[in-house]
Amino acid sequence: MYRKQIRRRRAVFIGLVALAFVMLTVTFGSGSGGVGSAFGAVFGPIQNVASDALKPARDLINWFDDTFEAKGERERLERDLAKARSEAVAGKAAVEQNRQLRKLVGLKSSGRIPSGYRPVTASVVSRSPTMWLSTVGIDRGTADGIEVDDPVVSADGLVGTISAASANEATVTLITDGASAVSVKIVPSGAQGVLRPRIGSAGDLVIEFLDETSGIGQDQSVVTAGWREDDLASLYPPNLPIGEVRDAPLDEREAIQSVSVRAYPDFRNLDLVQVLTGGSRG
Amino acid sequence: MIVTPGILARMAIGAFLALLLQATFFSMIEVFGTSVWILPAFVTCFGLLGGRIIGTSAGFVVGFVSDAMMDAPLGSSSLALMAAGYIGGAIRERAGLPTVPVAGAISGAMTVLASLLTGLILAGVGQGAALAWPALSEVVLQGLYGVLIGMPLFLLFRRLFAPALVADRPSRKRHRDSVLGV
Repeated sequence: MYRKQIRRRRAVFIGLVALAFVMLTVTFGSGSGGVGSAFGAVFGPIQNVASDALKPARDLINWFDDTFEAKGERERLERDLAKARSEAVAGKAAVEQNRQLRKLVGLKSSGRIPSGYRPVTASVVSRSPTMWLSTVGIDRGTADGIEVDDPVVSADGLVGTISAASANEATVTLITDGASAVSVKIVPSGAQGVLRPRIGSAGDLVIEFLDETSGIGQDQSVVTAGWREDDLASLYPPNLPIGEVRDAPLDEREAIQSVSVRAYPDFRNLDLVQVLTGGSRG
Repeated sequence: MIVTPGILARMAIGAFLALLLQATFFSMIEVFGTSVWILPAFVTCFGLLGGRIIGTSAGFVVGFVSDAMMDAPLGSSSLALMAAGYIGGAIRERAGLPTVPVAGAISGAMTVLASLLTGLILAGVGQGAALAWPALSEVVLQGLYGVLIGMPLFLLFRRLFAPALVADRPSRKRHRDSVLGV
């Protein structure tokens, strides 16, 4: 009796397994082989009613899950955004750097940098923390041939001179520094004078000690004079662009006359500069 | 388990409700990124209460209807659920009626087994590439849900099928010693 029962159980078990395999084989590659549609016809309406009835509960659970998921998604998107932002900034910086380098190359090829000078391109790596923007640090030094008093230009024009240099870095004192004075001339009027900063207003310069005042007008260019006399010479080669005359409220009656100048370089955003090494002063 | 027509009807109703809930509720919710598969726990509980034949048969029927309702290859869920029901039944026959936590743990383990088996079978019939393998973490999560569902389900079935359970049948006769010793 017991053996018969065991045999029957085995037969049922083996039969069910075999039947499952047969069904798998028969319906291979065709879903449920049409049985699904028959079941759908029977269970479909019931399923629809049950589905509608359970929808609020489903929505509630899914809302909780979505909330958890959204939190994780938000954190991931924030990370992605930060990454994309840094890449975009890097891209913009590269574009700007490229623009500046092109202008620097243009400065050289235009002949504004006199022959005999060897330009050394450097990146600005530090800035003076004061509001006066008087000095910047660059990543090139004496190892690259840079010496103290070498003139420094940006893509837009003269920015200053080297005031200190070590092997791999140097400090540039800008022409906006309070102690700076550059002999300049106004073209095409030909008037010469001394360019000094207007302290506290970066980019605003003033020409003093003009040797003549006639013919000076707004928007005329201001360039380095680059004088030489016996053993003395200007630190700057001649004809380096500096800026343009903003206004010229000259009064013949004043003993000291001055001309306001708008500098070409943006001293707040110096990224790349060229140090003019070698060459003769003036 | 002594299967009477009444018990069979209860089992059928239970299976129908489980299938309906699976199709219209548990398959359509996502908890931590994965849906809940209650059928392995359901079949395992049948096996744990009724033995190998009950478990295997329940696995076959539930799997067949489930495949038909979902238009899946017929037999794929049956094989996986039969394995779950059979193992549940074997444990019942060897170790007796388990406690609720043990039943939950077994249900969870059977859910993991059924998930992996279904994946293997579907891969075998050429649908594995389209379905892709579920991530292991999802299988583990489903196992966890199997534990959580298995415990109340076992408790419910034990109460529902109490009249049919041989070991749990309460003895209503009180044996009293006869005065005459008869």
